[in-house]
Amino acid sequence: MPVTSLLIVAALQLTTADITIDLTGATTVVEARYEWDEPFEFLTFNVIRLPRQAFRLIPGATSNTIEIDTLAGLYRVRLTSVTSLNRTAVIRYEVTGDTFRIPLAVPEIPTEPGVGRVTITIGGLSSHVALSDGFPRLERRTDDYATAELDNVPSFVRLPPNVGDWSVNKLAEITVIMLVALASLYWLLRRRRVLSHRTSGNSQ
Amino acid sequence: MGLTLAVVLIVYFGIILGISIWSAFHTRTEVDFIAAGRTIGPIVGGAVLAATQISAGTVVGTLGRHYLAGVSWWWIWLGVWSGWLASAFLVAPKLRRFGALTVPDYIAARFGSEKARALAATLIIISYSIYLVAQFQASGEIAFAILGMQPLTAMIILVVSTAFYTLLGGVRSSSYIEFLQTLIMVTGLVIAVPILLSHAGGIGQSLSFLQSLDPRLLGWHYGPRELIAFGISFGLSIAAAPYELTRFYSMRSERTVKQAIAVSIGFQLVIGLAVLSIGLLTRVLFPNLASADQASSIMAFEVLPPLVGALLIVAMLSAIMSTVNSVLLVTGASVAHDLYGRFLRPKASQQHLVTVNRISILVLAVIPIYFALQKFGDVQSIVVEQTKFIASFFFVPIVIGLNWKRGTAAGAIAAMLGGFLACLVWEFTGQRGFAAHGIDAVEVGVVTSLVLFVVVSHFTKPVSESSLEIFFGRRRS
Repeated sequence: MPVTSLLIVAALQLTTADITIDLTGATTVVEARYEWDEPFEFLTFNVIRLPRQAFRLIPGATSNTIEIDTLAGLYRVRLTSVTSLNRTAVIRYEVTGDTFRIPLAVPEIPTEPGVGRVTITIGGLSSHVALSDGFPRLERRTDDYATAELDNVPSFVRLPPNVGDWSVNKLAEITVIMLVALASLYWLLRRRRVLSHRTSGNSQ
Repeated sequence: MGLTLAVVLIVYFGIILGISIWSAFHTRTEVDFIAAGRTIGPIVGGAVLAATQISAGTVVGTLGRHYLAGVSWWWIWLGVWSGWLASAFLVAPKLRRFGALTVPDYIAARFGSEKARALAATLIIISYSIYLVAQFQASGEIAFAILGMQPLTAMIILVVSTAFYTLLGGVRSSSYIEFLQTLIMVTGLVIAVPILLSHAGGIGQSLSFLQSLDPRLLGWHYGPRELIAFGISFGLSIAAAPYELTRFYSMRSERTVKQAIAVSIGFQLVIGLAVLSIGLLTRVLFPNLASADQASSIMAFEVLPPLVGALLIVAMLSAIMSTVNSVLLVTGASVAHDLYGRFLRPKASQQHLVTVNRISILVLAVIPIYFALQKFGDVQSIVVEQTKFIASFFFVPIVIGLNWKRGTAAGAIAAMLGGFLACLVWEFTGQRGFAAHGIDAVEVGVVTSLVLFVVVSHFTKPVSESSLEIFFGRRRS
């Protein structure tokens, strides 16, 4: 296969995606609204399947869902356009079971670099979570409401752990600081040894 | 992230500045500038070889290729390491024993021909300018994705900062800076993996998702035939890559060179596995990016915690800078040492040659910017094209030339020109018509070069025994 054929070529571009995740009810409800720069005939979205989790489209709120394939690792959702001028699509679904990671519907047509904007809003967050440890990185707007602004639609939102809980992010940052400190210490000790060798050499 | 990145960048550039100034005080002769006074040991040497090898092609291109095509691209590393092993056993000891300053020095001495030197120097300048295009393009991609900076601005900053330390201290400053850059690359890439894995839900969850998204991601996106062609082009070009070989001259001895190659393969193994993991995990987290080349920068900026993300951005920057630096050193030396110093001003002083070398570096750094802005292909594709050319014109005169006494100057010139032209013609015209046969341009280039080398050498006057003594004589104990 020629190497150049690997480039993803897409005339249609996703311009905005507004995704709202509501954690306040008994089930987690996700409403995602996507807008493209040109009308589409049909679109495919991938939704990651997570263990111990159920995904259900909410009827009526979704623009013409025609099919869901259930594969080992994902659901594949196919939509057709309501009219020939349709540039937007809305998908609404609920997630039950383990909601530590909330899957998002990722359109197979991506955002244009530097132009597309993806906004994820989460309502009903505990005020005791460390937002920087989640994925994507969230910013708190009010006590129970946080947002993330991205260039691309992620596969899922990983809810942040509670403040003080063990976190890989924290461990990684501590490791970096420790490595830099150890490297600096090694360099200082080595430098001191070289200088003392030189001094003893001069005195002989 | 912005403040953390700014602090990390200031510290990084501060250290580079310090090393450059220190090296400038220790650089007085051309040997100091081009070969660091031949003082580099195995650990620093190994890190230098790894830094030279790990380029934008790896942290942007290879990572992006894993993102798009999955696991199968990893097999090309076997080609890369075969090239290193061939270099360690068939090339490096003899070249280091010869102790010249540039690869065209070897070509001229081995074949007793200044014409062959001029041709080798010219081909080095052409092919490595293509390589610089890929590095500059990657820097533009990263800066645009992370900072929203215009690619041209990013390229100018890259050229100014890299040319600065290259000009100031030559190979000495480059070696110590590349040692640091390799450590940063290994740390940044390795630490990123568990974080991404934790976000993605673990190995099983990630593999299951990738399998459903596209089964080829975990299987054979590329067939064995394609991988062999890619592996051959990387392996053959590395066994004879002037920007790697030149670094052997800066090491203490033949033994140091072999040890450094082993250290380098160790670094590359760790980096290669980390890049594979990051490419696949980025696909899990962001399955549909518009450009695979963006995978590394998006992951650094949008996924990793600020300090680790900043470290990874510096690692990417390091990979680009270290390769740009090595390429500039080898192309600058080709202009100043092999063309200007030999043909235009043979009696030029050492100081004058160092000055010409510095000016050449500056000029050669600026020209590829124009081509990088045109974006002829993705970063990895440009790197692959360049490796094909290097393999096609240098593998035979260097690897075979060092191990077959009968090779002559006319044979070497025919091999270099023929290999280059055959690869060029096949790649841009013939391949389309013959693609069904699965014959890659690098194979056509190398075979043409080999046939011409053997046939033309057979019918032309052998090189004198005195010229061959250093390469084929008994080793002095």
